[in-house]
Amino acid sequence: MTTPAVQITGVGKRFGSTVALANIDLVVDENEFVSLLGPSGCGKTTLLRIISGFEYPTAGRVAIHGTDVTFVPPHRRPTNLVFQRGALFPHMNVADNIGYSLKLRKWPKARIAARVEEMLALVRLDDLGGRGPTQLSGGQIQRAALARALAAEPRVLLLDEPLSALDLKLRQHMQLELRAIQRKLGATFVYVTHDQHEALVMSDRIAVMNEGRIIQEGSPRDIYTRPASLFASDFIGETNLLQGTVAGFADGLASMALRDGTIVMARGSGSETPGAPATLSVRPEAIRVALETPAGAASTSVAAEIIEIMYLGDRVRIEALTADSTVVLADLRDEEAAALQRGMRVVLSWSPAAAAVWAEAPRTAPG
Amino acid sequence: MGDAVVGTGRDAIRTSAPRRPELLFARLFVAIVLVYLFAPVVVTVLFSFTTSPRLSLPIEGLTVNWYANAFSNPLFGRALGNTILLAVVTALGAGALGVLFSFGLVVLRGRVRGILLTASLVPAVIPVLVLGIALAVFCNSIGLAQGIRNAAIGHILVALPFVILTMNARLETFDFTTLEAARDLGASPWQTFRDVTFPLIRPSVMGAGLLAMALSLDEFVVTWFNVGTEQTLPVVIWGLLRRGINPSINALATVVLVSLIVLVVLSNYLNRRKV
Repeated sequence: MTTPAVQITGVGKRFGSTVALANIDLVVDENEFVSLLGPSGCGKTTLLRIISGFEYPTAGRVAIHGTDVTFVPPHRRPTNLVFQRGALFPHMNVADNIGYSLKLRKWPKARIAARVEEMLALVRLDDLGGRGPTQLSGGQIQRAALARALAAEPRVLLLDEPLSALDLKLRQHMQLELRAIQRKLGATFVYVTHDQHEALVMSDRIAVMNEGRIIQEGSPRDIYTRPASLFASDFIGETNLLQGTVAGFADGLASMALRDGTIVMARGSGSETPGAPATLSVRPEAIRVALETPAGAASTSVAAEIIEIMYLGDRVRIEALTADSTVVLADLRDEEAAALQRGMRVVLSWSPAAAAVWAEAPRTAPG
Repeated sequence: MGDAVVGTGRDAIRTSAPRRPELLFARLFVAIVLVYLFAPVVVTVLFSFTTSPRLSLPIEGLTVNWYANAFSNPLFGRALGNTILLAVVTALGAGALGVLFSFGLVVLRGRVRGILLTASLVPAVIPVLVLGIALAVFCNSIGLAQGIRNAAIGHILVALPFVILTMNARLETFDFTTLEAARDLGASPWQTFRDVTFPLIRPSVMGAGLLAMALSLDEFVVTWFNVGTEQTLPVVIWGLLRRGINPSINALATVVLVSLIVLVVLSNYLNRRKV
């Protein structure tokens, strides 16, 4: 087994009496793109700052490529950080910004210039080396900041929500570009974001964080299709939450009674106590909408009334009100929704394997 | 992307509006205020160049004799030397203390910061008479004899709040993540200061220093109570005034005035410069 690029063991961080991070274990392999995903205040940025050396943990160890760096100051770590708003030096032009780390290492001028050219080409800012940071657009600033961090040849590149200040279209474009650069360089990226879509698109692996803990780690597909908690299912992607009480458990499926008595089924862990409050989560795209209860026991269904039909171009979103007054969203293809109208009584159904029951009351994810 | 520099349409604004009678009164009022504000200064500068020793109109002729006269005053050379010394010491002392203090303030958050900032600005609103006497009494009680040293302490005291105010305004807009970026890229704390911090705050530090110089240059009250038998330009002018109005006083006052204007304009220019 090779040495991991980043190994975080039992890291905790307290600010006074506030616990920012509690007992974090995380391993990032070489050449891996790992996202730390969570709402604001979940500790993801603190964890990144501990990896970069701007904060020291109050418990645990941090190792980079096998070397313990827990209390090594940032300027002596083989990591570089891309800051949220670039943090370019305003009194230096783009080329001097990119070459700064190399100047500190006393590289000869010609070698610095060559490396700067190479980096400018990598981030497609070829002709802008002579510009000042104030003459750059938001996207160009982040490219220059990326080039500056990469020029230092970090063993691990850390990125702190580098795209959050950009508009949607540019952000999506830059996501692909960042991913392409990471693949091309074969570099190790640790990426902090609160944007679940961004994390799904870019990452090899996602660590979902909440309240100072990593609550789930896995591939984007795992995280999306098999969230490990109610929080994860609500935070990642859109989901419908139905409230009720646990009715029973059999063959990996939990049954839950809605407040109006309807029994619905979904995956369960088996630890659910009958009668305990529970929440069922099911994604809008997993729900089918029919005029009659579908035949066969392979699905579970709820009666509802359509209150809104929204045409979204690539799909049609149905808003339906269930008998116990919960609004449920369902995403259908255009032709599936052709026969539906507002005010219709319908049956919402889903495959129990596509939904999950959690033995906890729902709460809205912050942020 | 696509950020274009948009020119200001300043030339398009001026259009001729019909004049209304109340505007006449408004203008008259503004004129009176301006005369009130500037007449004494203008008269002083004007009569430092006129041949007549009496302050009278019309002007008979122009001369620089009053300057020669003032400069040949045996006290002048020494006073000028002391004034320059005090100005430089004040700029360096108040500059260094003020910059360090302001940086220290930035690290603090919320209430403590507000309280310390207010506390550091209080000397600016304490009457200089009180400051001057208090300093004299304090120095006497700890055995510091009056002289240029005590005057310098006083000048730094007077200038410090203004330096802190200037630096604080600069640091409000300072992007501290650039310092973290430098550290992240391999710069030691000293290299970070040399390559990033100082170049970014240099114009404001110099501006604050020049402002401190300007405040020191015409400081009289605190100086008077603490300088002992030494002379500075304002002290010499005050001494001359006691023996009656003399056109060479106009010349000295004009020298001080011009120096002040130069310092203040430079200081403002540096403080407004964006890096």
